[in-house]
Amino acid sequence: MERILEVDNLEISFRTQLGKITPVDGVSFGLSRGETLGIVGESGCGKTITAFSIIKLLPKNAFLGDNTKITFRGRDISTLSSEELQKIRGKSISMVFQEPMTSLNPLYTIGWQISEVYRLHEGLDEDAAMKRSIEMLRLVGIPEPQKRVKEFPHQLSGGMRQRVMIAMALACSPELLIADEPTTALDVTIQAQVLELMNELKNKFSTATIIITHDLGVIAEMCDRVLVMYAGQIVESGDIFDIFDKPMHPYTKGLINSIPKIEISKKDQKKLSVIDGYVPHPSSFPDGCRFRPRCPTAFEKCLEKPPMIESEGHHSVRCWLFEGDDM
Amino acid sequence: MKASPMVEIKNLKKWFPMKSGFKSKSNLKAVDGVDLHIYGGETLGLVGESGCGKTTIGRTLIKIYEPTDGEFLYRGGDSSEGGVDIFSLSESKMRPFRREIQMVFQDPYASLNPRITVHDIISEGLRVHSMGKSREERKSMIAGILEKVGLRPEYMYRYPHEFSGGQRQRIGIARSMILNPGLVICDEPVSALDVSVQAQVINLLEDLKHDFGLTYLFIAHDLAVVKHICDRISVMYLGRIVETAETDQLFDNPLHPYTSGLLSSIPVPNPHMRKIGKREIVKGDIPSPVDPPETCRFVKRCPRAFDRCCKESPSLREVSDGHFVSCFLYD
Amino acid sequence: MPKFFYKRKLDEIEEKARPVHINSYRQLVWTKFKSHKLALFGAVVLIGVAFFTLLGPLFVEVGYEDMDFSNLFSPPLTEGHPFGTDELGHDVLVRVMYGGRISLFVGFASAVITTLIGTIVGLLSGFYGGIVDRLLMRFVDVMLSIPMFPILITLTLVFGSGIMNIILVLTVFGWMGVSRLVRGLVLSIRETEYVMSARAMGVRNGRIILRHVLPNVIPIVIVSATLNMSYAILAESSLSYLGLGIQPPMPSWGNMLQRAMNYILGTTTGTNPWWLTVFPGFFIFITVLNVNFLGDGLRDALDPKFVSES
Repeated sequence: MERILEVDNLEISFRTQLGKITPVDGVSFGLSRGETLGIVGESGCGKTITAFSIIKLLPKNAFLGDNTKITFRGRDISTLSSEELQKIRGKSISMVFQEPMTSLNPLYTIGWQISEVYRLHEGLDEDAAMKRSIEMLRLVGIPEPQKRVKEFPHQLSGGMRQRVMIAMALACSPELLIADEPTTALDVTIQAQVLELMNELKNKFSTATIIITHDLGVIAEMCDRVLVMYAGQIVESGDIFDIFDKPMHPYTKGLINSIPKIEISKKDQKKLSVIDGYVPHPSSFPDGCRFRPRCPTAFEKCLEKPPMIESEGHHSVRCWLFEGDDM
Repeated sequence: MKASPMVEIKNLKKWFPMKSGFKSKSNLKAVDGVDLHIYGGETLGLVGESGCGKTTIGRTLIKIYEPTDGEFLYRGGDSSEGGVDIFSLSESKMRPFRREIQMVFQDPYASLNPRITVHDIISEGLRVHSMGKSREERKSMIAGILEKVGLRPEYMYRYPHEFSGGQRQRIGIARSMILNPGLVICDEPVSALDVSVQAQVINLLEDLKHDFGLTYLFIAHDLAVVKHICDRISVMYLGRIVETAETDQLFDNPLHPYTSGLLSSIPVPNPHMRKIGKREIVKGDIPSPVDPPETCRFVKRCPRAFDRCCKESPSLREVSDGHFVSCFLYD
Repeated sequence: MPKFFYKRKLDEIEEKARPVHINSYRQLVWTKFKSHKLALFGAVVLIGVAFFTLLGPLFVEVGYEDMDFSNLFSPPLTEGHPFGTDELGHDVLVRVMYGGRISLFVGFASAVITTLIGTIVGLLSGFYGGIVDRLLMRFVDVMLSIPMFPILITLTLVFGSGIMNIILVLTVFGWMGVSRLVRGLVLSIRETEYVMSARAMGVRNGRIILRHVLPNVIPIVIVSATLNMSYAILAESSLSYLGLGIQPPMPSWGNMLQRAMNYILGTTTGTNPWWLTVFPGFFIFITVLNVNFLGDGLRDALDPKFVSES
């Protein structure tokens, strides 16, 4: 499969009042056409800024490390001018966010906002752009799209707004779609509708997708491959079945075991196993292995930084327990 | 357990009047005729999607909102046996029940006053209900409860912002538990927390229930959490209860079309059980609770609706032992 | 060796996990205030102005009414008159110091009183809502629609124009803004879960207001007090400038400017006594400017949003 994205040694730092902090450190991954990659982790693990950095959407006080290299379709992102980046954003790479209300402009109709994408990136005139917008809205399952294009974002429900966001994101058939917690703000029944829609569209356009979420259920439903992030690093990456069936890193295991099992009946449920302690803040990541203070299997070696260790089948883990296994 | 319930809520209504220009007055019927019963020592789950009225029920039960109509019989409802209709009480008669019935809130950031110390946050209830004779005694009680919820007693003179979300939720739980309540209303107590911290708080709530012999009304939208912690579950939709059953009964044999749609919608964290492309999708959006029509509330989204559903409104009836459903399919 | 050996105790993890090590809210506020350079500058200048006006007169023997007839309209740096003299031979430096006392006192007193009244009205209105809120807020509307200057002119004609009258008028017409601001805040605080929790536990209203609501509006109240102070200083100047404020021979920065107006195009002898306007004007300017700087810094430092972890 054609490799479209390559992120190599991503390091993102912030200048803050408390000095320099580095919430993302040494993250590398790649993505092929048609593949869906899940990035899972808890708040503050750096999953969102990782995704944002791909299209260089970073806060003003943030900067990338010297050895960081992001290549999209063979072009180094850091060498692109801001106009070229602008072209890529929205056309080749587009995004869907958690709260669609804040990403849609309340002053314009949704029809105008979707057709703007066509006018901007494909140079269509107003009528043609509006026609394409209506088609797109129909495709994402919005009833009576001819009517809806004249409505404003506040007139739509949360689920409908998320559909509009997806319509906008897919308007120019992007090669890469980044969805940041796309269903977290939605109710369960609406979440199911949106996931179903994303899946359909992915199959139709074979768009490469990155789904960022804390919800292992969404990951299990949607993704081919998973990156588990903890404290700014990838601690485990691999095929979806490998990660769920034979998790290696103690954090991944802990995460999977700490969620209540809905597939097991009430009378067979056991007490949840927990990960002790709390997620560290980027200003105070522990030395050595960052999970060490919370890890039930930590040992002497964990005071040193663990490398990413590859096991069979592209299943990698950042943990000293697996040193020397299947190298 | 099948004795008389500890809590019986009958025909609870909470309408919020809405100003709508020159139009005649309309009502947002957040809760519209809800019947619930909770047995002593059990955990009843109240689930539903946003806007279904579950949070309103919790707040009405502790009279943060005045109920529009209904009865809330606590411990039998007959005052000679120490039970009473909470809704009929004046604020001064209500006072002892403000200790007896406690609430754990959703947002660990908004539920603690940022300007006072943990000690002051927890001691407030003690003072209101004259528990603990002296300052010293209250202090040792606070130290005890902090230890119980897994925080170091030395933390009591710190301010809320010095704690993480999970720790704050523990403080909120300590604030309620120190009053030695009978019924605890947990309003989405873990939904704002990270996955790994969520499990800690769920375990804590289960331990406390066991140690103090508590009864929980557990309000949540996360069905996996509810399945784990609850003995029985009531499913709400648009201000009404559509189904109540024991947990396994509800999950294995959901009767109401909404319940089965809801259960089918949940993404299962197991890639071998992928439902994508195969699931039973509940179509459409949740309708507005402003002046809803007197039909079945679910009729517009229901795949099995028939004539009668558009004409009348079904009531909650027991179709098998302990399994209640509000649907004409089972009439 | 047991693998658990290196596993830290739960306590230590919690210590580590805490985002920033802060000991108290006050410390945090101070840290943030210190990093706001302009506000720090403002505070230093204001302390300087206060010392200058309060202690300055102790070091000179001339009073504000003393006249030096040998020096009329002397320019600055004349022997014994660093800021020069006016048409009656008053020393401008001395008058600026005494005038500053008056202006600062008027500003400070009316800021404190308006803030107090406004806060109380806002608290009651926002917390109780309903009929209390409607009555109080309609009263605010009424007060806001009364034009201040005509009333003031009438009052000064009837009662004369002393310091106390100025303060009275400035407070009677100055508290409404604060009350609206506080009311808005209280409306949102009233709906927070910590207030709900207190109500659910049976805490009485009075205590909820004092314990849970008031401490959370105080930061905003302090900021608006600084703004009120700069407003009051300017208002006193304008009133005095119109001849309605502090009456000569007692000086205030405003009435010094007013008297200087007569000579703005030069005196009969052909000199232009610019120092009569520049000195009081400069002090009004730096005082108001620095009060605003200070208010800005306080607003940032006290903003509770920065207290939370993110």
